[in-house]
Amino acid sequence: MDMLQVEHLTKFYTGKVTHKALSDINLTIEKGEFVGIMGPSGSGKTTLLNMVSTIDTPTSGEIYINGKQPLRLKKSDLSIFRRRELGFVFQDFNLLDTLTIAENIVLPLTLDKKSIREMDQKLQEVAEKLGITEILKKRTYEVSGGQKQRAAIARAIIHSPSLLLADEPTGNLDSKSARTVMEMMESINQEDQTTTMLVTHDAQAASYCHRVVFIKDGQLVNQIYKGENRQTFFQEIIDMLSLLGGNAHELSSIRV
Amino acid sequence: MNFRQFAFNNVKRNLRAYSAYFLSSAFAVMIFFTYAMFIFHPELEKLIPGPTTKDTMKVAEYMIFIVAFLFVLYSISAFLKARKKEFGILTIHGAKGSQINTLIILENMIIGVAAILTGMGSGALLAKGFFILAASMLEMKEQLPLYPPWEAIGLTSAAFLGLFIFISLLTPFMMRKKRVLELLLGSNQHKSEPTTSIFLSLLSIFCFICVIWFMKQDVNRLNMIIIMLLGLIGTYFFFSQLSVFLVRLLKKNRRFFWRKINLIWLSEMAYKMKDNARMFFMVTILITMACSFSGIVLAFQQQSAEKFTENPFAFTYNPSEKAGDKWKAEVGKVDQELDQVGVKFEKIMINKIYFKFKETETSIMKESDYNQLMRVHKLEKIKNLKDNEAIMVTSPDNQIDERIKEEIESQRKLKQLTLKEKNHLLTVEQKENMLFDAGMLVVSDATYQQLKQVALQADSKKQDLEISSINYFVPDWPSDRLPTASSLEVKVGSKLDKAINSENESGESIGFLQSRGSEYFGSKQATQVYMFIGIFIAAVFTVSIASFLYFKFYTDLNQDQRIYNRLSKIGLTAKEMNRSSTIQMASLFFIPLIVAGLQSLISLSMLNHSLGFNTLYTPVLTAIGAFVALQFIQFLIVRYLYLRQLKRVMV
Repeated sequence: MDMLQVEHLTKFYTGKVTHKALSDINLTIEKGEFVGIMGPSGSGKTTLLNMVSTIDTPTSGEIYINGKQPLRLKKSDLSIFRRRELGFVFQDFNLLDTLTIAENIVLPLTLDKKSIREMDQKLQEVAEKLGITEILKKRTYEVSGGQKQRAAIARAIIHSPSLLLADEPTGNLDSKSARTVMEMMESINQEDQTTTMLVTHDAQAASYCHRVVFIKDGQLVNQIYKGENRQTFFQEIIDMLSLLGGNAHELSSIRV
Repeated sequence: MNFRQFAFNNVKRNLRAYSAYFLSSAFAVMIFFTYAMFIFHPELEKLIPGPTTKDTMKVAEYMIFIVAFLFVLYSISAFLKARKKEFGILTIHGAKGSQINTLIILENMIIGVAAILTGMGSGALLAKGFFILAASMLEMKEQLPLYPPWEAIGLTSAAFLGLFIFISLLTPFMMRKKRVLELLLGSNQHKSEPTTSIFLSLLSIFCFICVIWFMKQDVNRLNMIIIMLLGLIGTYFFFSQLSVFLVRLLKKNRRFFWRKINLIWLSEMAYKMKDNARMFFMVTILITMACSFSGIVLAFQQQSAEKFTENPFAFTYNPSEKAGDKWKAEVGKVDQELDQVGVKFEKIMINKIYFKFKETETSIMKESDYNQLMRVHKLEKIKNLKDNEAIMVTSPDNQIDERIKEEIESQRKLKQLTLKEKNHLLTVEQKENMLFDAGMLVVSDATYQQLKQVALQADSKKQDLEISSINYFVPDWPSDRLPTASSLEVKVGSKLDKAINSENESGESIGFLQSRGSEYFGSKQATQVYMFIGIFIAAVFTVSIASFLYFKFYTDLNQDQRIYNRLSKIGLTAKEMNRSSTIQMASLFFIPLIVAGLQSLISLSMLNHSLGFNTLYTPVLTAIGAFVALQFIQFLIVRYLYLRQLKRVMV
């Protein structure tokens, strides 16, 4: 079954100079699939993600998420749609400083008026899964970046979304934290069959995916599937990136 | 580029950042200048005489200046906070502390001078409207013309130049001791959750309880000072400790806290309360003062209106005891004047004696006089008293003055009265009538003459122990319609007032004429001046409070925008954002107002005791209501402007 279906998606940015950010993108992600989107800066990765996230509207084309068409929804219903169907992980975590980690995680559920018991139960579940039970009572400025990102992932999956969207989740992390975060995402994908779309610069992070789609200048250029080995998959991704003309220097500089 | 140019370009090229500070300063100057133009107006003296009025107006000007000072100080601290990062960058590139101070001072002076010029310019434009408003509110006969306001210009520029220099010198202290790192991080620093002390929170509650206890005690100066001090301490800790403490308690209740948008707005409430505690405190005290003041003024006005409507007689003449028959000539003047303007009138003469019985001392009045009075007041008359009968008339319970309460209560219990020498007995009936504050004994005409003789014999030196009053009842001038400046009653009244009462001062006093109309109108004019000043200051207060809050919101805008942008991505609807930030804004706007309202009611019940007002509640509630209404309008405006900014970031 297809969880995400993108058909002939095109986006123009009109201004003094019209800029074609995406042209005729077709992409399908099956239920339980873990797909990475890669490409050099300015290739249209983020634009694609924003369309799928329903926070931007395409010039033409259709998007189906879990069989629904979010583009046909009113703005207020769209928020509810995001709240229930989508989960977001951002590069800069996007946690609220005024809340504790636990409160940040249950936020999507409180907005949906769930009972305290249900919230507590789900909170414990995801916290254990992500290994952040110890820090639930802490505030955001008291924990490390990796812990913050894990909390953000917990928030993104607590309501069991149809589609988990991750935008450069390892971009602000050191390599060790990045690895932990990606392993978590991988295990969530495997255990809960959470369909995941990951946008990244980071070949290391992308190597955790089942499949990586490459975009350049607003067009899908290629995709490669993971074989048996993550190490060889990583090498294939690197090779594909240099083939696409993104230079090696840019890639290595991503890592902090 | 030298340093001065740098400062100048800084201001010129970043007008947007400076504009809030500039506009609020210019606004303060404008209000001050307009008001100064009003009080220095050369023709004002002719229209509103009296040194008291002028002094009151000056006090109002000082108050405006204090508010302006706090306002400018507040805006600059908000402004500097927003620019922390810039100073951090300058410092890390090697700018010395003194250079940054010079920069701040130079910028301040540039903005200050510009604000003074702009403020005075717009103030001059505003002045015409202000004069028209003043003229209509003070019922002036002619409007004040515009004039070259040299004095006002001098005062305003001197006062505000001084203020800006002072504040410029003060700002380095605000920036002191901040590490470069802190400056560089600017507003991105995480603030730890505000802490509260349970002790201080309890102290706040304790203070309020003490206030209530002290209010039930006797009213004296010491008690009032204690109540005020306790009130101040209680209020301060209420905002800085108790409110934060209450927010924390609320947050502990997860059933409430973990429910919809409560999680969002309540989590920030503690920070916002603590951040604004000092401002809330100040605002509360100012509003309390303003409400109490306007309440008192309104009560005075109401009282003088009541005095007018309760008095059916347009004029009352009291001849002096020693002047013999001369008063007849003066009464003749009144008659003549009334004949001249062509109104019908009725003269009623009332006589009273003060008499000592064995049981009590009281005023005595003839039955016929009493019935005449009752006729005019349209109240029930007394039917034929016998010679040994008397009626004790006292006012109903709710109108009794505290000071003579005991005396009246004993008079009410009387069953009979005995003359000291003879064993002449009077049987006493009781009656209530709101016309008499102290007790009044009514006896038959014959008994009255008899008692008068007794009194004369007892004290032969006193020629005239009988107090008479000649009351003028004018049917054309009913007491239920309050007169205005153009009413005939007021005109005739002030004319006679001058003719008869000023004569008294020159020599021997013959008598005193009380004119209901001119008395009412005189006090009305006085209260109107106070009201006008009060309303003006109240308006300035509320506008500056709203601007304070607007400022506060704007310093937090970037942060709020970021938060709501994030939340909107994970599915917060625009409606929920709307509700959440409206709750926050409303609590910042109205919590101080509610506290101030309660405090005004408290301070007012104290005044009720000490000033003997019966009717203070309605006027003070009116004043609070007006404040709430004004504040509500401004809340709607600020909310609209702010939400518009937030809506932009909602995806």
